[in-house]
Amino acid sequence: MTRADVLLSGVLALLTYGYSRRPVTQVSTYAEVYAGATRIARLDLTENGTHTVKGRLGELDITIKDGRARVAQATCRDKRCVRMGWLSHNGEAALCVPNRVMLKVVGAQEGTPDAVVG
Amino acid sequence: MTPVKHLVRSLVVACTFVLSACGGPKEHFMMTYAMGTSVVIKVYAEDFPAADKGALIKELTHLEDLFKKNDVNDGIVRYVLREALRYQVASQGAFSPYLGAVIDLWGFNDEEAAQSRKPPSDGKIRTALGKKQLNLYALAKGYAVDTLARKIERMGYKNYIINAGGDLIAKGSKGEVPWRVDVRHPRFIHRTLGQLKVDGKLAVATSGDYQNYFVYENEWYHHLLNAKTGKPARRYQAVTVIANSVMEADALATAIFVSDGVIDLSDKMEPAVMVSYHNDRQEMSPAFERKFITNCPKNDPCIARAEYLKLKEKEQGKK
Repeated sequence: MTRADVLLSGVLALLTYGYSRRPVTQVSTYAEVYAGATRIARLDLTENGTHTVKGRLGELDITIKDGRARVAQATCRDKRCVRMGWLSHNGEAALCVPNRVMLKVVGAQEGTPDAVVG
Repeated sequence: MTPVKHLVRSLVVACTFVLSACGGPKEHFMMTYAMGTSVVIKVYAEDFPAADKGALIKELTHLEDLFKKNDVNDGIVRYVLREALRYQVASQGAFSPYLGAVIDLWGFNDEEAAQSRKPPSDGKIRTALGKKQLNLYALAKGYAVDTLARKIERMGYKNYIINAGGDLIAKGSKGEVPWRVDVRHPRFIHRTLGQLKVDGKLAVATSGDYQNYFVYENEWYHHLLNAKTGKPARRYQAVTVIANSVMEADALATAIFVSDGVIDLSDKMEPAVMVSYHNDRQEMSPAFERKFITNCPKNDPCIARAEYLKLKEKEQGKK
């Protein structure tokens, strides 16, 4: 292997790494948070973190970790949404009826609005 | 350029690409629940710390309390009331800030209660109208969004969206991409009529008969009450207004909706107005048209033909 081959491999490796870490959110899968019928947030499953949302009865914590999403904590009595555990596949959802909040995993879509009025 | 120089340049470009991928501004969001609706704030910035989110929630809670008490000795309440009275005049009395008792009677202050309600009798409506109880919610939500926008700007954020159940202000952009704000279809919640252009700033509000309603004996009763009759206005499905402030948009959207055509749209070059009629058609002022990218084919209902026919069939079935 020549010096140029090593450098070329390095460049390709860096480009691959850079592509995988790019900040643009059209990557793979998202978790969408709905309040009633309104989508209020779209969370990239590649960005780990905890987000707090407030429903009708109180707060819910949504955790994103390693490509999965879950309702980590909720103020509703039966905590069914918490017991749903981790969601990672397109279409999986956890619904907190008392708070009217839904967490749903969806595939990436181009041209999704940031807000809907009406 | 020699192959080595070429590779070095590629390496520099690749490193810059990787470094730019780490950190930098991104979209942050918070959500809370106030004034009977979810309030979502999105910010495009390096960071959106919890302290700032807390300060915004505190401001919102303060305003919610203020408009619950409706103490006219308070400067803010007096200001919003003065504005509300302007719209009362413009709508020739169809809109009124004194419908508190009538709204309570219909049960529209409590969405869940409204689901199981029957329409009140004419006698009870007349009595409630006579009470002239102050209710400023038609403007309060818009005022709250404007106030939060001022606060968020003072915090140093230039790119944000505040959406309180459709009362929305969008400022700046999402990096190089503009914020995208769609207008929902009044009868199909997952469909939109089109997009609104956010040219630096957008303040918009919609009054729709689907936002708070109940159905009794196949009749649809919603929260947008005509102040003269104390009953739901029937001319429109939805009215969307773009204005200089969200409060103005909110007030005008409600006033146009409840006035049942008293406010002549042809006179309203500014602000921008779009109305949706019960025949599934929209009409918009030239100012609105300039800010709107429609999804609908010209002179055609903005829904797929099959869905339109299904809806009509359902409506016929109810009658």
